[in-house]
Amino acid sequence: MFKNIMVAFDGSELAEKALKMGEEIAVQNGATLHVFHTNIIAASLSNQAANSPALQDMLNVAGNKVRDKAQEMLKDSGCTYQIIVQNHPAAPRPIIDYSERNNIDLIIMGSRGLGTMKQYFGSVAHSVLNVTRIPTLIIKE
Amino acid sequence: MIYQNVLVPYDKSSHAQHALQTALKLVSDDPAAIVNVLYVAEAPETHDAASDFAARMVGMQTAVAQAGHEMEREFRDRRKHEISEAIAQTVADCPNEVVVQVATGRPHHAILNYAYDHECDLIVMGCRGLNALQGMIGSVSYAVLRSSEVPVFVVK
Repeated sequence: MFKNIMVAFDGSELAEKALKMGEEIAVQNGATLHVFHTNIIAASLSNQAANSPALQDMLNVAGNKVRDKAQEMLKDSGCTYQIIVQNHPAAPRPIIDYSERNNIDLIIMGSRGLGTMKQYFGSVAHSVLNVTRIPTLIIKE
Repeated sequence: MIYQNVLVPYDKSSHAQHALQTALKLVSDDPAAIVNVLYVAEAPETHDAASDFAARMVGMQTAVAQAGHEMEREFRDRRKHEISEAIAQTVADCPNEVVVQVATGRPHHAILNYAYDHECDLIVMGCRGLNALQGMIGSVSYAVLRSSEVPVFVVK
């Protein structure tokens, strides 16, 4: 039923739950799993980072940690997968753009992420849901 | 399919139709999986203050209350029949068991209570139903999403 499943992953416990779900569904459907992480970097820094390899490296450390976690979780996986990390000041837009450009037919995300406000229903999930035309599976805690 | 006991809140909107079709597709590879179609109806007024008072005056409270329950039951059965007919074509070729239920009360409460009571493991719903504004998540969908303890599959 699904060919390209995207999981929004920020390394949180809930995101791990979402990733496990995504992997199961991907295996069942013979789908490719796209694990997508938005590495939040302050907009003001991204310009400086462009000119400073050292600053780039520092900013990438956090992103790489999340990438490694996803990699570790999927290492024995029965599905085809890719892990994508993009630097951006806010999570929703890159998620939406990626899903539109890569034939994603299912998005899976936790209802809350690592955002600073602890709400019952996080702003990233809310933003993505409001915009996307793609069926979205929201994983609750 | 991982999910065995799927709940589809249904309000006859095209979104609900689409959600139901998606739910059926999701479970089609697993004959043991069940789809619950839940219609939340506004309960009809079976009694109000004035008729309660009148019933008390003539000593017929119990009779009137009973009649009220009868009417509610009849109402629910009639709705159940209506919904079953409305979805008959959609579920025609589906190998899975489809249970139609009607609940009354506030929609998101009825939906979440049903999910809890019947140990549903997934809710499939449209992002909005009959009453919500374009482009936004509807109020019922949002309320269900917020408070659900099980994963929610939102279909556009």
